[in-house]
Amino acid sequence: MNASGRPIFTNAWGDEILPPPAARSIPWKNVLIALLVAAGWALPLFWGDQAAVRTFALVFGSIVLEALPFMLVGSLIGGLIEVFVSRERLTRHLPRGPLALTCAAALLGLVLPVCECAVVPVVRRLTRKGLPLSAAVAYLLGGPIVNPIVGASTFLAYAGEWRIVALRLGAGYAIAVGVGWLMGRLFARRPALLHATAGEHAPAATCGCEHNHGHAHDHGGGRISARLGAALRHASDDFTAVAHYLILGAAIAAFAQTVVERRAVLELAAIPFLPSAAMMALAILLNLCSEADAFIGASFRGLVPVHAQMAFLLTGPMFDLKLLLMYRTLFTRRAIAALSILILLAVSLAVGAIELAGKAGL
Amino acid sequence: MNAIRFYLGRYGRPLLYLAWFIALAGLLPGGAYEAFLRPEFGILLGAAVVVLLGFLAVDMGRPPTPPKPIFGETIRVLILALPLAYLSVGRGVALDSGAFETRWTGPAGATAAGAPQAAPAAPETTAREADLVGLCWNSDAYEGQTVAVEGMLRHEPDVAARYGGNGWLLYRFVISCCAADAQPAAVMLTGEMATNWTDDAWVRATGRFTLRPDQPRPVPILELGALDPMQKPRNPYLY
Repeated sequence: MNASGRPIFTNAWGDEILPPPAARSIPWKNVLIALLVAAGWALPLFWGDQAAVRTFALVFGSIVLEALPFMLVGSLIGGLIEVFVSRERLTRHLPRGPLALTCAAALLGLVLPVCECAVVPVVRRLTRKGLPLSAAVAYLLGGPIVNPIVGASTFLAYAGEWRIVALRLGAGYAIAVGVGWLMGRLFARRPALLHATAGEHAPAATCGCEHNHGHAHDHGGGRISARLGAALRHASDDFTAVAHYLILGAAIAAFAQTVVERRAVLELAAIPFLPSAAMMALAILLNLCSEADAFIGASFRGLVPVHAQMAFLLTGPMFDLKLLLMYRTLFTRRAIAALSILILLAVSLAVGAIELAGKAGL
Repeated sequence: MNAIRFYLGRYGRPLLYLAWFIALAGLLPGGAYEAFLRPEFGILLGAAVVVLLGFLAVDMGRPPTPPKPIFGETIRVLILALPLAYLSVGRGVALDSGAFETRWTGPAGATAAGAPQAAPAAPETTAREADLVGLCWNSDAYEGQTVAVEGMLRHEPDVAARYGGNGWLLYRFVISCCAADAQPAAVMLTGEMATNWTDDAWVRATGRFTLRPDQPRPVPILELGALDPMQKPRNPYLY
């Protein structure tokens, strides 16, 4: 000990030396991520001949291949919006009142009919152009349901039952508007969008448009080829920013599809008050594309009541594992938590209302 | 370390796009992608290949990006490339009884769904060609007829216990968009069967198709007349 009571450190020869640096804490989160990614690569490389791994590979590959074109197109649309639609032009064409704007945004899927994977990069760009949170959430949730492709696939899957199509699109629209409006109110004074918290100085990949920064900017002039190039660069940035979340979600979904038995969900659904919750859980686990999920929902006809099928059809396009991860490229954690709770509550209320209406003979 | 950071930042994304471009372009010829997706998705995959080529071109000519944390960027590239390894494994695979186990929700024929197509009455001596989609989802059109249908076998003793029959099902997966949403269409087999059949054997079954009323859905049944082994078809799925 020295005079101040601190231990004296010496080397092997007894010379007094500086104390060793404090032990650095192990970055456990990084170690865990690295181990998971290594395991993800090891499975196909070393156990690719196992039946379960092959089924997992097939399902995982299918989800990614199905979503990839939509994701790329969504990124491209986002890039084109970034370059060709100025903030002023966007705000000029939007309805003035916040509620009217939210109501209109939830219908955007009618003109931009993209599924839930493609809508995320589009919304990323629209929010950077000044689209308010309530409208962004309304489009994010409404776009993958209130669109003609989903309407047509639901109509086909349910063999022409217009009531189911109307219920799905109507309830989807109401939930999108309601949750969007509530999110706008809840986060009126605190930031919900990531780019708002990062401010104008957020680091981002270079867009190659003469300035190396990440904030939103207009590309009003220049040759069309240069502007198209800039749009592609923005699209490429968006794709790599979001796609790895899609892939992680697809991996989780493929795992769930490989191990979760749908008959077990049916047994759960047989317990009173649980059918809707069981079908919502199934939608969250399966991570199906909104343009195909109606066929799976229809396979439960006769096995679970209509309101539980509706719980499946409404939850999947708005909230599943891959979306939960992809929302991380858009929202703060607090906003994601609020959004998740609101979606689940709103879907529960909607299916409750459908159940009551069914019991009343409507 | 700086060199790795530089090369990862400069060439990581172009190499990733190139790998994806090669993988997708390799799936298109001969419809190899149909192991994963329904045939109509070929157009979308073609569009994806073009967009990836565009991304590759612009990323090759992009000015150097600001340095990024090497760990995060490496992990991101590894995750983005991960499906490529699984695509090579899943390429020659088809859904089988393992997937049937997790996806089947019970025997079901559909009679009230929409307006079934009225089928011309077939003479009993000639088997009418049918597929399992028609038998399960448009059951009325085939009820009482002798049909010939192809599919895989699956032994389900629980089904025999509940519905009678010999405990075997004839099934095939039906794809809406991709193998992830594929669901089995199955009919219950009745009648004598040899004991040496195994799960997932491809067969051509001929017999009389009937619907047994049951709750919540009627059960489609094939009273076997003949059961012959067959080669696995090039595309094992129905759409």
